[in-house]
Amino acid sequence: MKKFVNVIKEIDFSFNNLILFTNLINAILIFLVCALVLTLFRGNIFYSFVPAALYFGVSIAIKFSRKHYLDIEKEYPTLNEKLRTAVDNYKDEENPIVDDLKKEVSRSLKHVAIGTFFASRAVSYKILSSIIISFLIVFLAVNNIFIDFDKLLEGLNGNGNGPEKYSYLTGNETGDEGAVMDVRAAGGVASEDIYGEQVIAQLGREELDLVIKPSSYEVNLRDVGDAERMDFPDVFPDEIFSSSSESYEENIPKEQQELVRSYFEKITQ
Amino acid sequence: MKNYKNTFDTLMKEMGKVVVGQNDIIEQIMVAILCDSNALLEGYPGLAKTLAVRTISELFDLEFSRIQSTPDLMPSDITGTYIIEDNDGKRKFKFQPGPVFANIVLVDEINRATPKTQSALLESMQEKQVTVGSETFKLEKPFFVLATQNPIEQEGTYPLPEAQSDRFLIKINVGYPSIDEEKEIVNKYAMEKKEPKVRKLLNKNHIVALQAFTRQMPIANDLKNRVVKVVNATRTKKDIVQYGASPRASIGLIMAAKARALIKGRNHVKSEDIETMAYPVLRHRIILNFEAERKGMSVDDAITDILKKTK
Repeated sequence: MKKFVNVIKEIDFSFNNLILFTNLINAILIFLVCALVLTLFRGNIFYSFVPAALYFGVSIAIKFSRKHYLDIEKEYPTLNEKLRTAVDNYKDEENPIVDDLKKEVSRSLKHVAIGTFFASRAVSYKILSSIIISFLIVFLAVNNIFIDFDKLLEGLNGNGNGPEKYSYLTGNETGDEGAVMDVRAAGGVASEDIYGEQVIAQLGREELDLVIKPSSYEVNLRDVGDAERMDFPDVFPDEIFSSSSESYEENIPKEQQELVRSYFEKITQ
Repeated sequence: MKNYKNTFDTLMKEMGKVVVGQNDIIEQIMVAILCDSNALLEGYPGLAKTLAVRTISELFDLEFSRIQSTPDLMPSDITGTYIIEDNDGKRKFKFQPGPVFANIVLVDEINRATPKTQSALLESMQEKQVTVGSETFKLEKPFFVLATQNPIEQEGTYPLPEAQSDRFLIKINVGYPSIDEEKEIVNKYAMEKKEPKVRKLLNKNHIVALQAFTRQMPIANDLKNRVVKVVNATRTKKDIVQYGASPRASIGLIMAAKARALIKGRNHVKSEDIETMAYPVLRHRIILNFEAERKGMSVDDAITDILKKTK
């Protein structure tokens, strides 16, 4: 028969492995949830490691120090109070009652399946959730979907035009929507007027339907394709016309006109 | 462990020949014996307290003595005294041992003895020795005092002082038998001609070995902690308790739980052992306050409350 101390070590080892695995799954899930939130708010995704690592460290420390045999007792009532007594007194080698107890507990432990303590359904759900969240993060990143936290706060504080100020970009804007592009959201740059005053986008009296695409510096994979051929119609306004420039002729004496001409010809050469 | 269970089952069966019902009481007396300690039985007259103790003494091949307590009982009547012995014309003092020099001492109606006489029992109960004059005499092992007292007719009695009642490991409340048990008692003692007899099952060595075995009974740390919590709660629960139990009660409760586990043929102590033995171990060590008494609470109610809260 196995020494009882080895039986205890085996129980601890199996339970620690189980705890390690389930906590790893939980930590991954926490990381992904945090990453999803950070993606939505344009935060640095690497910060998600902090809560995940904290959870993993603390929960492992707590769960490793727990008495695993209490879980076995809960699941197997025939071992109730018997197993913990045997574990607490296993060092007592010369006690015939303890010896009898250890033998009885060792026999009963053969019928204990460690799989009983593995919450397979919960773990499956967690893995499934992790996969879904991962796809969600990729989708948000590819489509450049996020929430502008500052605008949201402004909206909540009642500044600006309220909820209308809250805007988001889908990355597919053409400028035709007439929506006010959010410079900060688009470029992530603090100053709003780097594109200049809108009045500049006027040609004569006609206001040009011209929008500087703020997200143009980012490559939107969905928009990548062959260059669009554009035909520019004659849209010049009437007040804009062309005229030949007038040359200024000096009164140069006839005999010296030939000299000046040859001078300019030489310069041209 | 099964052999031990069989032994105790046989003991109970033999007891059943004389004492009808009262299995819990017999079990608790056994617990006191296994713990090498003393028991106090309290109950109304005619409930077979004395009979139970006398029958137990008959089951064991031990020296038994009985002290009937009365107000004029003197300490020397218990401990023994020096007498002058005349030997070939030479006179010298010789110690004449009292009834306390036995293995099982039944002190009947202990509360009728004076405090002075009751105190004479203290040393023998706790130290297992008797000091007379300048000499100390060790009592032979095993030694235990089984005392009885009536809760009624308190006139002319001397309730046991706290210090002395603490020396008893357990206080057993002897209750009335059920209707069926009473019918059986009537049939046994009013109809049958022969008085039931029991055979001797255990000798001194057996009992000493069983006492040693009781000490070896393993107990989980969780359960030990619970015992300490329960006893501690009797001191801190000031809303119902005026005086709580001492650490001696913690030792006593663990020992009593171990003994019960042995009687039940188990190789470990269970929490049910602690919960069952908490009543006899704690009930004479707790004094309720006025508020609890006003509410009509008994000591057993207080123990139930404490056990629930320390679960």
